[in-house]
Amino acid sequence: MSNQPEKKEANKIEWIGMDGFLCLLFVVLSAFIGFCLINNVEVVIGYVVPIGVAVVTLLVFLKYITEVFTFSKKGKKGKK
Amino acid sequence: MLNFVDNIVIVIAVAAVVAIGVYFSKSVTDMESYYLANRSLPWSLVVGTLMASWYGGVGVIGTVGYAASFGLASWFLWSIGAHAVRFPLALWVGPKIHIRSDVTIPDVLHNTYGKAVALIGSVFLFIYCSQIGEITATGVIGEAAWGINPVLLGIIIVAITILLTVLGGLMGVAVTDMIFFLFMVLSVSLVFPQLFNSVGGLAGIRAATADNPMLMHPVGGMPTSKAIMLILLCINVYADPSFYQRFSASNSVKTGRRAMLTCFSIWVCFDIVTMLAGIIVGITNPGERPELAYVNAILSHLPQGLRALFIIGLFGAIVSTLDSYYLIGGTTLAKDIYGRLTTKQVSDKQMINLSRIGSVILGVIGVVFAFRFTLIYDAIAFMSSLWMSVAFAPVIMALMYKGKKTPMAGLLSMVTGCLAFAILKIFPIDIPGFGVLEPLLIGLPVSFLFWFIGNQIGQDLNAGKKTIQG
Repeated sequence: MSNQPEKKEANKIEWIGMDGFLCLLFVVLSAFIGFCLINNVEVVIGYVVPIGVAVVTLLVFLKYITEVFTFSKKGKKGKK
Repeated sequence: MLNFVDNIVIVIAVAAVVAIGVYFSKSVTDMESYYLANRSLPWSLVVGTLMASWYGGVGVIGTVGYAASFGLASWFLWSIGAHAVRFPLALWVGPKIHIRSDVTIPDVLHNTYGKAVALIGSVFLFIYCSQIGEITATGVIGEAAWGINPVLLGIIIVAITILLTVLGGLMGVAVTDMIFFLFMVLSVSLVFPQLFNSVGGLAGIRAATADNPMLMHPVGGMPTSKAIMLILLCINVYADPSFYQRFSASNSVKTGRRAMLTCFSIWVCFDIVTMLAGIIVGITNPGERPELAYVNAILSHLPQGLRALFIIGLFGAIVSTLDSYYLIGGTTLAKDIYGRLTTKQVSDKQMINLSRIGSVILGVIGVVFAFRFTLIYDAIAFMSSLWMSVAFAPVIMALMYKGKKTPMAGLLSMVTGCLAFAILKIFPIDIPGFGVLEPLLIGLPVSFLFWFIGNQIGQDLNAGKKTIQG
């Protein structure tokens, strides 16, 4: 287990980095949507949020399916 | 309701999705074992798997029902609260349990508290696997889509699910899950602007709810007792070994953590879409069951053909959830209950047959009890509250607590948690300003309290042994 300290270091939470950004993103999104709900910001609630969710889900799906497809191709080549 | 063209689209789309599933099934099976063995699931696949497996059809339809009843507080208290309490799981707890090798709850209970506690836990896990909320949801969706009797459709869906479970769970493969999830999110999100405009946006909703302003109040619409219960239900995942298995399948702790953090932001946005839609259908269809009104509203706003994809997305998500729970339930009956009770050697064939019998029993339990609840989420809340009152404390202590753990701690915790839940369910207590006292709010602390009391009695089973960490 000599690589344990290195592994620990690599797994450390990067508060000033992507981990911190994703935590902050949740807080900011919640606060922003909450603000828009209370103050009747129609465009954000009626269009930006639902279309944003649809676009992000579509992007995740495309990335997902590409990864699976690439893997499936690799798997078939490997078996030949 | 769906017409002839929609039904043709459903048949073609289901055939296409099944064909895609068949095409990928071999490689996906290889991939899953590969990933689990090598722990190399990349970020996109962890996000996709988490999104599709945690946000099923019942999540959407059930959420709509609660939002119609409790208004904006559903989002401000429940949605934000529920995701917020899972942050420690993503940041600290998930990575810590990353290396654990035990994956089933009864195994964890047996290792920590012994056979008796494992058996009790297995029985409640088996009941929990009936997932009656999913069957309640199928009835509502089927009634809106085809005007079929909900109980009849529930039986049909359960029969299809059992068949799929017995055949090896073709629909359960990751790719088809993700396709169903996409259909569902796209339909719900893209129809929302039309639904929103049809009532005049937020200003229109406020005007329509003027006689019940608490519906649009950030926190006023939901009784405190209900809000705390719903948030507590969301910590159930802390005691779910299958979650840690999924987390562990990612290619690094960093990947698992970031995938989960990404999902929180997507979910909190998707939640407001479904919850506001729930409030809207509550306004436009007063007196009607909100979940039914919602499915009807989506069907009437989507063009012919596309609305079929919405129905497929919902049913696909429900069937795939039921399928996976029936598999777990069947295995629990065969391996964790029968396997622990018998002294004889159980053959693989017997195990498979018992698993199949288990799936059928779960289906029967589901159909018998699913339609006794007014709202879909009531059914989910009932099952999850019962399970958490009984098993959350012993499982979470087994996973997280490094000190002494005695069999009596597990036993007392389970028995008292169950009793507290049952007593409050049979004799509800209404507290002014707080709402009806949710059984979980007492069952869970009682279970923890008696865990500590029971832990003073007897010996630690694992004293001198290595922990279950791999």
